[in-house]
Formats: sequence, C-alpha cells, structure tokens
Amino acid sequence: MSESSTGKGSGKRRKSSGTPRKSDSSSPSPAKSPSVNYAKLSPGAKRVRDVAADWHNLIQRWEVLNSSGASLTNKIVNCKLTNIESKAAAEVTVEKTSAAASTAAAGGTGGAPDASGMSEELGGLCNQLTDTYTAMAKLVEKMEKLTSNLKGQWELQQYQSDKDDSEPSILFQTWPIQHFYEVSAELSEMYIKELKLKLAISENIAHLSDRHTMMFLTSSWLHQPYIDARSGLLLESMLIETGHR
Amino acid sequence: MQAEILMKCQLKASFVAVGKQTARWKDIVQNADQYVNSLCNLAEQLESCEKVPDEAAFLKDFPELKSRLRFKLLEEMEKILGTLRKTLCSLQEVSNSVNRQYTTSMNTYQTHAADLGIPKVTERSATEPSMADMLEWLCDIDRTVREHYLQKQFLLDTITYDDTRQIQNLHSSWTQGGDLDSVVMGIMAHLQFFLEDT
Repeated sequence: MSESSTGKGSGKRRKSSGTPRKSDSSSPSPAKSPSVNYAKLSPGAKRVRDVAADWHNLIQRWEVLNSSGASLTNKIVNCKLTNIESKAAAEVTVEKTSAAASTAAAGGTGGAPDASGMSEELGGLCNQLTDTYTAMAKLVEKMEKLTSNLKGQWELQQYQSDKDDSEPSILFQTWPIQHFYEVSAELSEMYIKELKLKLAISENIAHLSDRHTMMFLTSSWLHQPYIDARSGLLLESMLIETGHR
Repeated sequence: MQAEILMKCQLKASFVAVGKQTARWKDIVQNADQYVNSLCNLAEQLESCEKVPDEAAFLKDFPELKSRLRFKLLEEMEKILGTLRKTLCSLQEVSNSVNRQYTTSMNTYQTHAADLGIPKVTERSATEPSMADMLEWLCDIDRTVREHYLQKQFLLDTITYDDTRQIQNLHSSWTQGGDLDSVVMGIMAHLQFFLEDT
C-alpha cells in the first residue's frame, strides 16, 4: 500500500505519494504540469497539491473496493436466494410425499447438508464483505485527515494574515486555501455518510429473507447514493486548480 | 442486350450492398444487447427499490435513501437509453441504405422496362433467378428491415420508468427480430450462383 515519495526535495517520506498514481496516465507528472511550475511553489502550496493528489488516489482505491464489495453482495444475495429456494423446494417435496409428516422437521433434515455448506460459504462471503468495509473505513479516516490538514493550513494562514494585516493569498490560480478546505470537507462528508450506509448493508444483508430488500441493499452498495455527481466535479476542479490536470 | 446487362449489374451491386448492410445490422443489434441487459437489470433494481417496505429497520437511519437510490438508478437508465437511441440511429441508417438499393434497382428497371419486356424479366434459369424475382426479394428485404427498425423504435419510445415490468420484458421483445437474418440468408442462398458470376 505505501509508495515511495517522488523526488520532491522535501526530505520527508510519506506513506501515500504526492502525485497521482502512474497507472492514471491522464494526469501529467509534476515536471510537465502545464499551468503550475512545481519547483516554484511555496511549501504550503506543495502540501495542498499533495493533498489534492492524495484525494484522487483515495477515491480511486475506494472505487476498487466498491466494485469488489458489490460483487460480494451479489454473491451473498444469490447464496441466500438459492438457500431459500432449496428450503422451499424441500418443503414442497415433503408435503407431496407424506401428508402426516411435520414439514418443519423433515424440511430441516432434508435441507441440512445443503444448509451447512451454504452457511459456510455465506459466512466466508460475509467476512470478506466486512474486510472490504474495514478497508473502506480506513480510507475515510485518511480522507478526514486530509480535511483536517487543510483546515490547519487555513487557520495558520488566517493567523498569519491577521498578524500581517494582509489579504489571503491565492495558492495556484484562483482558489484561496479556504476553498480547498471547503471542498475537502464536502467530499469527506459524502464519503462518511456512504460509509455509514455500507456498514448498515454489511451488517444487515445476510439476515434478510425478502428478495426486494436484498436487491435494494445490493443496488445501494453498488450505486453509492450518498456520493453525488458533484463529487466528481469537486475532485476534478481541485486537480485542475492544483495543476495535476 | 444492353438493358439486360445494365439491369443485372445493378441487381448484383444491390444485393452485395444489401448483404453488407444486413451484416452490419446484425453487428449493431448484437452490440446493443449488453445495454438492453443492463437496462433490464436496472429496471429490476428500480422495482425492488419501490417495493421495499418503508418500515424496514435499517431505513430509519437513512431516511432519504430510497429517493437517492431511485435518482441514481434513473440516471443510469437515462444514460443507457441515450446509447440505445444512438443504436437506433445506426439501425435507421441501415434501413435507409437498404431502401436506397431497392429504389435504385426499381428505377433502373422502370427506365428500361420497355426495352426488356416482360418475357425477359421473368425468364429464369438453373443458376440465375429472374429479374422479377430479384426485384421482389429486394422489396421483401427492404420491408423486413424497415419493420424491424420500426418495432425497435416503438419499443424504445414506449418505455416509461413507472412500468418496470415492461422494461424487464424488453430483452425478449428486442431479440424477437432474429428472423431478419433467416429471411436474408434464405434469399442470398438463391442468389449464390448469380452473385459469383462475373
């Protein structure tokens, strides 16, 4: 998960790199950035630039986890539906063959070998889903750290400008640092809400039996209702402003 | 006879072009299949979203969840419908192209009808169908392609997001047009020797 830092000359080793991942070929490396000359940036601006890149990386990793989580929820629901159907089929068979036998007991024994195999599989899938959720929770933690980082920088700048009685400076093209903080806070908010939803889904999905509710939870995981389209706009504008695009 | 040679050349060219267009039709419809499947899938999800009981325990923590999910699903469906409409435009191009081949052939025939005469036009041989037959087949293909295109257009035009059942049945209705292929293959089988003749 950790990447080596790029040749920034800051001398600090960071866990996440300061530039977007190399797999993302659409964003230029710092040296080729068209509108921002990396070498001439102030230390504060460099930190903000790194934050923007970190946001991009975190969101990419979130999307990967989201896809794997979506396929897991699909498998869990399929597992449960097959389980329910086989139990129903077993009960129907028993009713047909003996009118006097109690359906509950016979249905249970008939389905028991299948049920235990199924519940092992189900348990495995649920564990994987919980692991995915945990990984996503870590990402959100990092996102919150980025936001508080920006908040700290904003407060520092405010303090300095109060002392000097100067205007808040523009770091790159048009945004003051306050705007960076607001964007970051808005994005964090969305991902925090989405994470809460994912927790509820991962806790509830294996315990339902209604087909519609299960499908509802699966599609809620996949489509991420709390991540608005605005999030894409916010991220892109942050990357453009800092010169990553 | 000059007119006869002209007519046969025209028919040959038409059938070659029609053959290519119907192959293109098949490709387009096959590519559209994945979008139709996605649409059906999303319609199923939308139905489930609507049918979830509001009293469900986890919904209490997420009061706007249903409407948010509905919005997202509709957004996805809109995108897919946009792609399917583009597909429909391509299919319309194919239909128009086939129609142009037919009208050109008919025009050529009508120009030279007096020279050719009915006996020549209806003369068949072992390896070559009559010009009348071939004109009729062109007409058949043109009509079939047009019908299939209009069918698909109707299906897409009558989709409403409220009727998720209809969308889920879209897949079976969409693929009903498979018999265009068999019609064209049947006709092309008759023309095999004629088209190979230089």
